[in-house]
Order: sequence, then C-alpha cells, then structure tokens
Amino acid sequence: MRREVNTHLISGLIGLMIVVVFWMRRGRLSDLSSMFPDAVLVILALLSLALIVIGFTKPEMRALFTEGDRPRMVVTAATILAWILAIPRLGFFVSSVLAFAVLTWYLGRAQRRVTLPTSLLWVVFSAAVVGAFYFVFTRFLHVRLPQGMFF
Amino acid sequence: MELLQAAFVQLLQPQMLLIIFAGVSAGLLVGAMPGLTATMALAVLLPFTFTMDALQGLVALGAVYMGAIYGGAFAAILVNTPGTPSSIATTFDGYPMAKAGRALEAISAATIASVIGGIVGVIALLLLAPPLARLALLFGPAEYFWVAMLGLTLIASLSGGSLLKGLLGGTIGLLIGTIGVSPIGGETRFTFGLPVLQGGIELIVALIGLFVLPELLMMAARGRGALADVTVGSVARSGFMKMLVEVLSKPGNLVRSCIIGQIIAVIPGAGGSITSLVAYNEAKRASKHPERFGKGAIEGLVASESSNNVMVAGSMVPLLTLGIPGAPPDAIILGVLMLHGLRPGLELFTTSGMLAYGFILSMGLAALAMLPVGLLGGRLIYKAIVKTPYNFLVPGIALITILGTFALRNSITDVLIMFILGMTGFVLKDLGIDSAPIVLGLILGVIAEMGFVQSLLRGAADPYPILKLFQNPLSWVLIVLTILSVASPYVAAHVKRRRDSRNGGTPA
Repeated sequence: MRREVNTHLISGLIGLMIVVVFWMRRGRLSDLSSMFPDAVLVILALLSLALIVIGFTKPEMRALFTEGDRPRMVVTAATILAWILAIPRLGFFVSSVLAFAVLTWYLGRAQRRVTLPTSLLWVVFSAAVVGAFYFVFTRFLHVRLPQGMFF
Repeated sequence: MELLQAAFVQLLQPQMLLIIFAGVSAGLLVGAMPGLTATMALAVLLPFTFTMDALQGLVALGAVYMGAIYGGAFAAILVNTPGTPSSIATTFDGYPMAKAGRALEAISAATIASVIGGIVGVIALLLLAPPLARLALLFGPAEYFWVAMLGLTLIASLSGGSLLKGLLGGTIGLLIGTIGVSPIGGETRFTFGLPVLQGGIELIVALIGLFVLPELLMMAARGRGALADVTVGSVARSGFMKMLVEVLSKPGNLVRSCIIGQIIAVIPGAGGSITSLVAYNEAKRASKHPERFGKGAIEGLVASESSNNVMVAGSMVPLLTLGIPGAPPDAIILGVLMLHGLRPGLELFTTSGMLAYGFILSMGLAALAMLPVGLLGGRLIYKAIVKTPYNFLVPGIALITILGTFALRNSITDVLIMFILGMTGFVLKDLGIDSAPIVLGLILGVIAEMGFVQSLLRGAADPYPILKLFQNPLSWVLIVLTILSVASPYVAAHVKRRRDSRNGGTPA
C-alpha cells in the first residue's frame, strides 16, 4: 500500500516555496511594475499559510500517484526530458528517433514480450514516423528544426 | 448582416470546406481516444495551422474542437470510457445501449444531438457576443480587474475539490503571468536569467505543458487498460431516420439541455463535464420515466451530447467579448487570436468582423459536417484508434507536443519550459490543484494587472488610491458576484449538512 501524505500541508509548502523563489528574484522594481506582483505574492503567501494551518487542523490524508504504474510514469517523464535535452546536441531527427524507439520499446515491453526482430521493426517504424513529421514541418510548415551534430 | 453574408460566402470556398471536414475528422480522431481531451486535440493539432492565415487557422481549430467534443461520445458509447470529460454523462446510457446491441442507434442519436447542440451554440454566440462586446465598452480598469477576479474565483469554486487549492492554483497562474515585461511599468520581472522569458511565458507553451503532458504521463502509467476489451458491434441497424424522429419527438428535452449548456458555457472554466452532467440530471428529473435512465434511455444520451456541443461555441461568448475563456480549450483559441495580433472585444466584431463572423459561422458548418463524418467515417476512425497500440500513441503524442511547442518561437527553451510546467501541473493535480485555475490565472493576469495598476494610478491624487476599485456601481455588481462565487461552496456544504441532519442521516 502506498504511503498517505497530508495534501493540504504539501500544497501550502509548495505555495510558500514559490513565494520565496519569486521574492528572491524580484530585484529592484519601480512601484508601477511591482505593485501587482507584490499583491499576488502576499495573497499567495496567505493562501499557502491557510492551507498549512488546515493541514494541521483538518488534514486531508491521501496517497499520491496511485493510478497506474508509477515506475513507468517516471521512466516516460525521464525519457521525454532526455529527449528535449538531447535535441540541441544530437539534432531533432536523431534524438527523436532514439527517444521514440526507446519509448515504443519500453512501453511495448510492459504489455508483451518483445523479440529482437520486433524491436528492429519498431526502430524502423520510429524513424519513419519521425521522418514524416520532419518532412512536413521543414518543407510544408517551414519550421527550421535543430540540426545538432548530425542533421 | 452584410458582414455575416460575406463571411458565409467566404466559408463556402472549397478550401475552407476541406479545412472544416479535415478539422472535424482530426478532432473526432483525438477526441475518441479515451483520456485525450479536446484541449489536447487543439494543442497537438495547433502547429498544423501555423502556415494558414488567421481565419483558416481559427476555422480549423473550431472544427477540431467541435469534432473532439463529439468524438468523446464514441468512446463513451462503445467502451464505457468518456473520450473527453465532456462525455461523462454519455456513458450512463450510451454504453447500456451498446451492450444491448444498439451501438449504432446510440451513435446516431449522439450525432443528431451533437449537431443540433453545435448549431444552437453558434446561434447563441451570434446573438449574444456582439451586444456583450458593446457592454464591455462600459468597463473601465476597475471593472476589468473585478471581471478577472470573478473569473478566477468562479473557476476555483467549480474546478472541484478544495476552494482554497483552486484559489492557490489561480494565484500561481497570476504569478506566472507576471513573468516578463511589466505591461505598465515596462521593466522585466522574474526572468530567472533566461532572455526568452523577457516576452513572458507563451500562453500556448503553458497550455500544452499543463494540459497535455499530465495526460500523456497518465496514459503511459495506465498502460493499455483504457483501450482494452473493446467491442464495436451492433445487432440493430442504425435506423438514422427513426432516431431523428425519436430525438426530435422530445423537443422539450433538447431545448432544456441546450439552454442549460449555454448558461453553463458562459461561466469561465466550467467546461463540458459540468454541462453534460447538469443537463443529464435535469433530463432525468423532468422525464416521465426516470427509471429508464442509466439503462439505455435515449433522452439521457441526447441531453448529454446536445448540451456539451452547445458549449463549444457557447463558451466563446466570454472569450470573444472579454478575453476570458469559457472552457479550457477556448484558451488555445485565445492563444491563436493573440498569435495573429487580434484582441477580443468589440474591435474584433467591427474592424475584424469578417474574421470573427467567419469563425463563428464555421463552427456551425463544422457541426453540420459531424453528420457525414460521424456517421460514415466515425466507426472506421474509431476502429483504427482502438487498434493503435498505446506504446506508439504515447511517443507519437510526445513528438507532436515537442514539435508544436518548438515551432511557436523556434525555441528549445520553450520546450523545456513546457516540460517543467507540465511536470509541475502533474504533481499539483495529484495534490488536488487543477490545471484549469492555473491557466485561467495566467490568462487573466494581464487583464487583472492592467485594471489594478490603472485604477490605482487614477486614484493617485486621492488619500486612498485603492478605493478607486470600489467606486462604480458596475464594479459592485462584479464584487458581489465574486463574493457569491467564493461563498457558494461553503453555503452549499452548510445547506447539505442541515438537510442531512434534518433527515436524520449521516452526512456524506
């Protein structure tokens, strides 16, 4: 069973953390530029404190991320992040084929046994899909996609 | 009237009709996938409109929106899973009908109800938007500030769960909206050393992150569950004319559902799920045979599908007049308007009248296009969807998401911001802070700041400049509505507790 946490308390703490981060990056601003964000920061701090107080007086205890397979979610998110970070270095096409193939293989593996020929077929499929989008975006939509060290 | 006629003629060009049909088909395709929302459909298909002019782009997205809401009914009827949240109530009677071998009848009824709902929404938008846009001219800075506050408190109280968390989400959105150049002071704020943030967070980047990424991760986590065990079959023939007669034989149900749909549609952020549930509930209460509901009653199906399709055009009343989205997908439409340098308000209906009316009328044509697309191609599209393995679907959507975000400003930083916002939205959603108030806060931030600062500047010579926010009768109307929207969840809970204690039952 997954551990239950106090969602009001965590929400309040996240709110306070955002207030601190934005307050530290506020710098010197004129009254015209600062009056609204200052008011928003004060309201956010008050709402966060209210949630923290409720977190202690009437806590809402609940397990988080209970739906579905948590590791699969984390691996998917990590792969997408790696994909985004790899685009400027490897170029859009190469990084996308790699990430697409990895995700297809990883998520496919969760539902059935994946043989080597199937994996190779999926790599070809990934390259075809990415290639098709690459072609449409560069030729028809005139979007210059990052080239990186390859193309 | 002349403008309306000219806009209509423009829409009858073959290219426009093709865009409408393609848009409805694409929307149906995405909307019919369980778990993929209409907002997601608009977000992932947005980059394909980049080379189009403003009207073509808006027409395409309007058609996608209409198709996606309708597409939700396919999954609701055939798999008992709402394709989009708007079709939750469609599952109640649609799936029992499919189980009884009446799937095609259910699809026909849903199609007819969706077409009628879509057209009613367009008529309502045509009738309500221009006078409301003129009314908006009476609004000064203080009124705009209170409109923004009303929008935020309404969505916070309607987004479900804790009101405090909804308000927290809205305030986080307001704060994100302050990133970049100040609209009045002109200084840059909260850029965190990133030059790309000087222009602020691009609305569509935030929308894609907050609405698409969490859904994508959930789809990966759930695995094939949502698409498994599908039975697309029907013993009974669709009998389209029979269904048409049956749906039209209960005009009261249709009229009531459309009115409910339109009223809820103009409330910022209320969305199609609330619309269809309320319409369904009222149809059940008004029916002579409420016991049939939940067992395959066509009235229930019609109530849900007509009301949620009214919402598509209906929810654009506050969007096109005040710049406040009536439902989350409208935020994408707002982003597209802004991309083309267009601002909601009376100006949109006068100087850009051809575009505004063309867009509105195109949604009516999109509603009509649902008839052939849904009845002829719907089942084929649906079969293709359920046969697509989810391990191709997840990377496919991720690819379009990354491409679409990058293509907005040719910026990989935007893609990274989209990812960060998406992950933040995902965590916050699980904590009970919905993405909708955050997005509305982001949209309303500029309106609220302009209203707030300009009001205070107007009162600079007064001893208490803040009182400028409270001096007009129209402001007070909005203040009272804001207070009511904050108080309503507490009042409703109090009334429920009293009713429970009077009935001697234990509160739920």
